[in-house]
Amino acid sequence: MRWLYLHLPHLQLDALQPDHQAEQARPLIIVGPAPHPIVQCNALAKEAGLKLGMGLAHAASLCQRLTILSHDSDFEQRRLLELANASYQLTADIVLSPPDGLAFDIRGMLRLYGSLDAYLHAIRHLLASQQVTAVLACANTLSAARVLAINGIAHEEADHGMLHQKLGSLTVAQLPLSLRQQQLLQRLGIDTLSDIEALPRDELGPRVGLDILDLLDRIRGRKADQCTYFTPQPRFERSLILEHEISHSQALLFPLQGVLQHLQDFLRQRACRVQNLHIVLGYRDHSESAIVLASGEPESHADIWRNLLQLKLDNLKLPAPVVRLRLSAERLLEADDRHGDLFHGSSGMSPSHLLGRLQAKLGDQAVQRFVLQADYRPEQAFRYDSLMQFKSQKNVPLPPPALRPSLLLDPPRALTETIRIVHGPERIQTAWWSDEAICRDYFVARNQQGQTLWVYRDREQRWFVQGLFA
Amino acid sequence: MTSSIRTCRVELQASHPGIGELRLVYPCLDRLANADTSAAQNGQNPPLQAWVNPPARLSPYPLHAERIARSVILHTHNQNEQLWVSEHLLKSGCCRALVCWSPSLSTATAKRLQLAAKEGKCLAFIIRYGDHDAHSLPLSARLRLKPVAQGLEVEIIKRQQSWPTPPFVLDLQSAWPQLFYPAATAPVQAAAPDNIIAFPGVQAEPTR
Repeated sequence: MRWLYLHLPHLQLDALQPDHQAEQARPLIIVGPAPHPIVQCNALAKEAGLKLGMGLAHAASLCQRLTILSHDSDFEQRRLLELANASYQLTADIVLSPPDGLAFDIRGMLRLYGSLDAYLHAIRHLLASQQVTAVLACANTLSAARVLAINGIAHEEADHGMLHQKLGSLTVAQLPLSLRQQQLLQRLGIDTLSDIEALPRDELGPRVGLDILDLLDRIRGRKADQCTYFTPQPRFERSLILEHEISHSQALLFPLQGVLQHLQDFLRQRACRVQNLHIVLGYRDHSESAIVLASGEPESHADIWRNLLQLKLDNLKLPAPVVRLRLSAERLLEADDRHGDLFHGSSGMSPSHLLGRLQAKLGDQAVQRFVLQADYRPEQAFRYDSLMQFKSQKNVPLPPPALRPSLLLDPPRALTETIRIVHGPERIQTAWWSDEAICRDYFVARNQQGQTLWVYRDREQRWFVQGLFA
Repeated sequence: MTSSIRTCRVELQASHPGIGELRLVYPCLDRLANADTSAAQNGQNPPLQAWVNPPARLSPYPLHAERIARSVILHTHNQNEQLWVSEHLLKSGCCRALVCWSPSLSTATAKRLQLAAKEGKCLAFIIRYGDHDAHSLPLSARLRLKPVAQGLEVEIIKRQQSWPTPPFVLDLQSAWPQLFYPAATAPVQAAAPDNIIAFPGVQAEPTR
């Protein structure tokens, strides 16, 4: 046995998040593009007599309380990639087989896991944790495994005789042949693969088409399949489709909790952390909006992200009900070992965690730090920067050794009261090379209330208050 | 600086902004920052210094270089957010000092903040402007500040484990001579107070 093929017939259906509020599940179908045949349906819909391929009108007449969703092939492709990324933890060589299959090269893996059973156990565990249903088939070639799995014939043991028999009994309709070839063979009274193999090869090729010989060789293992192996992406991404629409931002927390747990597992396995999470909310009218969740320092813990998310969602107003969610994390950073202090750590929170939380609550622009600038103009001598851009300053220019107030009025207000000058003047004349040239005489002054003001007189002899010595 | 002062909450009632209320606070913050610098050399994360809702653009120049790097300025949209932020900062244990400009404070919220400050070992200053009624809040100390010619007239309305004192004058002139009239030209007061106290911990370079 060399290949294991996973056929995933219900990718979109499996990704649906069950409605926690509904008392009971409802029959649900997913229909393809016009003429809207059913492509996926849940167990309740099957009970109601619905079958794959049935038309939408037929289905609606059979079952009244039917939930109908349209098929989203883009979503399924993303989900397939996610599953390939997740499987990479268990198996090395993965081949993507769009739209709904994954093939694993298991030769080396069998040596690692000891037996096929142990390996399949691990794979099934993964599938259960990802909540996907799959048909598993093992065979000597990718094509053979694929043709079995696609037709729903599971083959999960290393029994070659049984495999030979199962492949031989595949009907012509189950083989990936063109319609013309299938009809030709069926008219000749040839029903199964073993019937085809009973015919002489020299005659079969010219009559049915040379590609059938190629197919037979690949299924029977006489010829190898060409395939390109999948390389995992260095990012985390997980998409969800919500079975029910969410209109309260707080309710988004429930489906996202599970995703954060997956994120934590993903990051732990790679010994990585991330600093930003991107959450894309897909609304009912197909518009989208994005939330960026930023932590003060790279983080992998699901709990910490959950707290940040909760704060962010508190402030979020949804313009329309949400039906889809996608959480992604790029730029994985290597985890550096942080050591807590055994004796002095009074609280488990580090400054960057704290700032991350404050930022999530107040918004990016509300949490700021000083950035000093080498400029004599009081307005330009420093600025505030939000934490997102903040880098610790290596070369902080020293503040000018002059008298500066601790509170600056921005913009300066006109002086309207009587003052007594205490100290001054100090002339600041600079930036003559730019449009914002200033020439001001600064004074320290006191007013009637005893406030110490920083006032200036400009060239036109106008007086302004620019600061307060608090 | 004793350990008890690190967790207390002080309310400063200044008659107007810009009479020297922050100058009272800076030396205290400097000492905390110095203590923290030695801790930071042992590999710990340096604690933060938070400024919540300053009434104008807070300038970093009167601060020490270390404190500039550690300072965080926060702007909140309403009173509830301010409370939430203050409580979080006080409780976190990684914020050493908080200076908060707050227009009003109820007894219940003051108590909450007091408990949070105790839990997080954080020193908090609340600065309020204008004349407020003297209803007692559960805080460690409450000072009323008025500008006088030589500096600030300080009245301790309330302090923990001690009696309030009559008003005394804190001499800021010797520490910041450029901000005050020279003594000779100072307008003579009707009754010059005899209880003038020199400003403690005078810095060598006052504006730094």
